[in-house]
Amino acid sequence: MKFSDRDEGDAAGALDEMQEESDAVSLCSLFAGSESFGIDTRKIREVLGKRELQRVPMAPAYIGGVVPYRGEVLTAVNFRALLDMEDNSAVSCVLVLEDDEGAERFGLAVDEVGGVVTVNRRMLEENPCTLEARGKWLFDGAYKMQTGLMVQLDPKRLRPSRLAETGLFKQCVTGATDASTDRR
Amino acid sequence: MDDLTSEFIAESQEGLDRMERCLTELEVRPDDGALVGEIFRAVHTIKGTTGFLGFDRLEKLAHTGEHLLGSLRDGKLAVTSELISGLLSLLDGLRAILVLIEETGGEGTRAEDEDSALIAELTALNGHAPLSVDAVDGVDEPNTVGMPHQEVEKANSRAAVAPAASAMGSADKTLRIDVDVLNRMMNLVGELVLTRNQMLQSNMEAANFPELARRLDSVTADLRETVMQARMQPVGNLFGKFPRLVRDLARTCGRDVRIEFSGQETGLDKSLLEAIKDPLTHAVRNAVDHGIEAPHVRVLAGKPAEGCVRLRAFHQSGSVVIEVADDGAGIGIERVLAKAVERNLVTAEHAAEMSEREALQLIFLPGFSTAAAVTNVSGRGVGMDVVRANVEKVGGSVEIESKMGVGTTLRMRVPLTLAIVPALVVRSGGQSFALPQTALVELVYVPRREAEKAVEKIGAAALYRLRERLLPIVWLDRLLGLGTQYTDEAHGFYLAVLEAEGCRYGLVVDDLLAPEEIVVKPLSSVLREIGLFSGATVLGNGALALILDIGATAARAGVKPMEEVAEGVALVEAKTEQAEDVSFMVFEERAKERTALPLDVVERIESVPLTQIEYAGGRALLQYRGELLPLCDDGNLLIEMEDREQEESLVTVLICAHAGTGGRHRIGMVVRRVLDVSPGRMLEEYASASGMELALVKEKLTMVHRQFGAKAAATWKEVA
Repeated sequence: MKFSDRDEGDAAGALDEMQEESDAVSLCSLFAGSESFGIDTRKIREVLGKRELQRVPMAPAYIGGVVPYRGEVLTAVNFRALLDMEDNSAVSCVLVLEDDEGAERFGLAVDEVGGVVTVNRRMLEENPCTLEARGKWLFDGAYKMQTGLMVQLDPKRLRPSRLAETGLFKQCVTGATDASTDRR
Repeated sequence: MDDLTSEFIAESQEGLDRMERCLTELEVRPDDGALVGEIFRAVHTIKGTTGFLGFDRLEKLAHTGEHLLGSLRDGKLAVTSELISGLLSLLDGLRAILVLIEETGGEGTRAEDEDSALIAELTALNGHAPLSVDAVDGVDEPNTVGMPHQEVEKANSRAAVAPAASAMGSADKTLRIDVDVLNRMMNLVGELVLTRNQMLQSNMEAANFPELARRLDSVTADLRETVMQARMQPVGNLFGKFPRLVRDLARTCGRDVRIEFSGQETGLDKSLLEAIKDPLTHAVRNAVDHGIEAPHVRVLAGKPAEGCVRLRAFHQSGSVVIEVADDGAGIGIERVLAKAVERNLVTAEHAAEMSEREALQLIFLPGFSTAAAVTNVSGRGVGMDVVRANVEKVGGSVEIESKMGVGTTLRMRVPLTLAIVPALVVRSGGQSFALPQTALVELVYVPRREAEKAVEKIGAAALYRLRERLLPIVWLDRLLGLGTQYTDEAHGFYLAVLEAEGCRYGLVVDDLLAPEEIVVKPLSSVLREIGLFSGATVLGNGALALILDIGATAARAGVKPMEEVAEGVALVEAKTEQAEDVSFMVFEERAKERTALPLDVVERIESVPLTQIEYAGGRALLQYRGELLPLCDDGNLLIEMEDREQEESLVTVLICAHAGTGGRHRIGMVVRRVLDVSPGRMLEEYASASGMELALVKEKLTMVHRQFGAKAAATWKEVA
């Protein structure tokens, strides 16, 4: 991911030191590879922690598998696969997300879930125009943190059915090689 | 809406449903006074309650209806087709108001919510002048006196809307349960709580823990059964609305149709009943519009002018089958094929080589309709594919049978319940999968050392010879693109013989786990799209397993329904029976000689290490499953092998059921090698004295051990 314009907007951030209460958003930070992401805590239903996903053969590559959750079988999106990172065999951390309408609950498998950070909504930086199409779909701007940029994610766009609709992501790659690496 | 009103609506709707059934029956049996009484009561109850609740519009309409029914009951009026139509319009009118009340809380005061035309019509039927002048305002005088045809049409079209609307209403959200069932449920829940308390107080090591676990098991099973029972509804509830539907349809299409039912009492889960309502309605519409011919055509074809649609429901191997059969024209295969080619659903070449059965299945393809003219009722090219999709959504299947000139039968097979199915859990490629027991025919274990030989090939297609029938086999792990795992050397593979949608095939899996009653959980749409899994379930050990869709797996692997093959086998079987042939197991006992035993006396073939064979009093014996088997060694194989001093060598022993004088017991027969299993014929005239008989097996001379041969022949004849 290349954020060419990472220094832009610093001045704007310095201008309104006094932030309004309503502008504060708490984000749950999560990690995939070396990058950090954030999702609005209001859209996270539960953090399940480390879970082993049951793989689904023939499923699109971005589907990490299924995981039982309160009497339901949740489809979990493999975030690493969405970012085109190679699958790491370690057990991943699963979050349960729910969009506003509560229509479809699904899981998101990431490497690790960090803590909750509070940011000012007005500090959100737009996606850079140089971002490729997939990145534009997945990311919802970024916040400048001391440790680096935290890319905001929109659960609505991570919904498995939406991902399938966009057709931006590889449809069916769960071949023999993919599955066997996972199971050694 | 207050409780009183909602209760009134639920009750009235039930009353109207009853009235609808009675009305269609009344047309068949016009002299049945009890039916008139029933209808009268339904309308009377509504009228009485509405007055009390203050629904004036409803009361007025119900009053007119009651008045008319009163005349009918007193014998002042005769039952005519017009009268029935009028009463049906009344029914629709009442229903429409009820729906309005349910939705809005009021009975409506807008201009279109005016019943004066209907009231006038009913009054006209009663043979009186309209009740008041303003009631007939806006209605042409001639129309009220005669039978206002358009009026009926309008009412009919309204009828199509009203039930659909009420379907979403309270009738489907509420369910009447026997208080006894509810009490039983409550008791069981109490029991469940008690068991939980005891379990919490004791621990895993406690002496009574296994007992508690058992109790929990039985309480859960009872509770489940009771809840299911509460959800079960007779199919008759669903059938009830069809007489009316068929009547209206038959009039619109100019057909003469009677409807017959059987198996109304067959229970089906309420949610399933809902799910098949639309497909069934569609099937009945199709039967009337497409299936049954016009009366004059029927007469020409030598059939009674009145067509018949039969609805039949029955249980069959764990599922409920609902059949819609008509005695109409049947489906013309040529027309189906021509249409399919015309609509680019199949290529002409492909169509030419289709079997009749395959061709019939084409009508389930989206965008297919053979109706010559698009009518109001059907023929718009949406239909059968929706029927199939809806039925398959609930784990059912649809098949169609048709004979030209004789009729068409549409068969829907739905599971008893959606929630819980018995399944076999298998492992393949390191993952667990559940196979529904309903599709499982048998299981075959192929040991490692036979695995190479057992799988035969024609080109790239693998086959397994199961009792002389070639069975296509499919490797689950390869089909799903899973990495093949190295199994233990000693471990072979399992072949699950499955049958679905007329396809029969063997599915190769690595291992079998326990059979379990699994709770089916739906998958998200993305995973449903893969098309191979019908759901997922949580297993006893907490892990997830995907439920394999047997039919879809067959289709993915390219397994075709094998109707012709089955027929061929049946033919062969019939032939063998005629020739009075027996199946023999052929083996080599003495070098160069073929010896045989009738197949049905051979229970097992065992490979035993030579060291396990013991001797007592000069006789060779084998300890076999806690039984001492005398070994019969006619070829002196044991001595031969002992001489060779190959300690680790294996002896092939046939375990045979031996019908001796002391009843039935087993013996072991030491053989060099097993050659074949094939049908053969006894040659009676060559019976020799040495305890052996001759037989021709595959046109080769073979000796048969007599005591078995005779015995087998006797039992075989009994069977025949």
